[in-house]
Amino acid sequence: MADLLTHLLVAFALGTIASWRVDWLTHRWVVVGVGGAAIPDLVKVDIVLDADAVSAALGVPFSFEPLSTLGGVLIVAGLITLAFERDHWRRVHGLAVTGGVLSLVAALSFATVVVAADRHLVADE
Amino acid sequence: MNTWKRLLLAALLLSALGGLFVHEDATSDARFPYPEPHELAADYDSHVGETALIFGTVAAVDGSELVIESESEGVTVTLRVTGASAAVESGGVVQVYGELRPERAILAKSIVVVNDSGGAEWYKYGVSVVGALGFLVVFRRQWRLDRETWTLEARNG
Repeated sequence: MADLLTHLLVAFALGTIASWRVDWLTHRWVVVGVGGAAIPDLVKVDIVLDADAVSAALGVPFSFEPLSTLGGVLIVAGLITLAFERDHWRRVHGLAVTGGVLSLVAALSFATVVVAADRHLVADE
Repeated sequence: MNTWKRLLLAALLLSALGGLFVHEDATSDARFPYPEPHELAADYDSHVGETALIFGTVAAVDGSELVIESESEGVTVTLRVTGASAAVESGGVVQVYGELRPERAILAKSIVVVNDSGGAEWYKYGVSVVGALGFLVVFRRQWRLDRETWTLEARNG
């Protein structure tokens, strides 16, 4: 996964380009989408709050990995949405999810390696 | 939408997120078809010949070979990586895909460099903090928190 700054800048650049074509997509709304692009990076909370330690404290298996999946992005985008006025919810959620999915796609280079590895495995057998 | 309803919705979403956190870790073994470092540390010989995907920190670079340390469940295993090289320094992080050979060596078919040195990781953290701070500055210029309703509203109308 690339660094957070890269994810934010990619989302900001694409959002700005989109804003030239979409009337309602002003700078204010582009910023919301850029915030969504940070969601998959929340997985790094593991650096300050070790998942193994949380697991030991709670007595259940525990991992922050879902933050970097589509399911995690949908839920965290929902939490972000709740912080806004009711009138904006649909738009905020759509933009935050779009930003988050952009960052997941940027992280695909890693997934490609795993998929390629799996194909090797099949070929070996 | 009053504050209590929003808090209730937030609690529901947080429980769903917590459910994902637990479910992922409870089922990850079934979705990761390769032996993990703590399994290799416990009984390496029974895994010889198997294919593995190892995420490790480079402990040493010895000619074209790497020595990597990989950890899971609090147990660290040290492996030699042969068969392929990568432009990486001690302290870097790599993903190695290959076959487990006798004497704790992995015959790599592919090595992917995550961080090419220990410094590269700190660089990533550094620019990530810069990114987060920059975002907060830009966000606060566009949105403000209304302390009466505890919602974010657009500045300047």
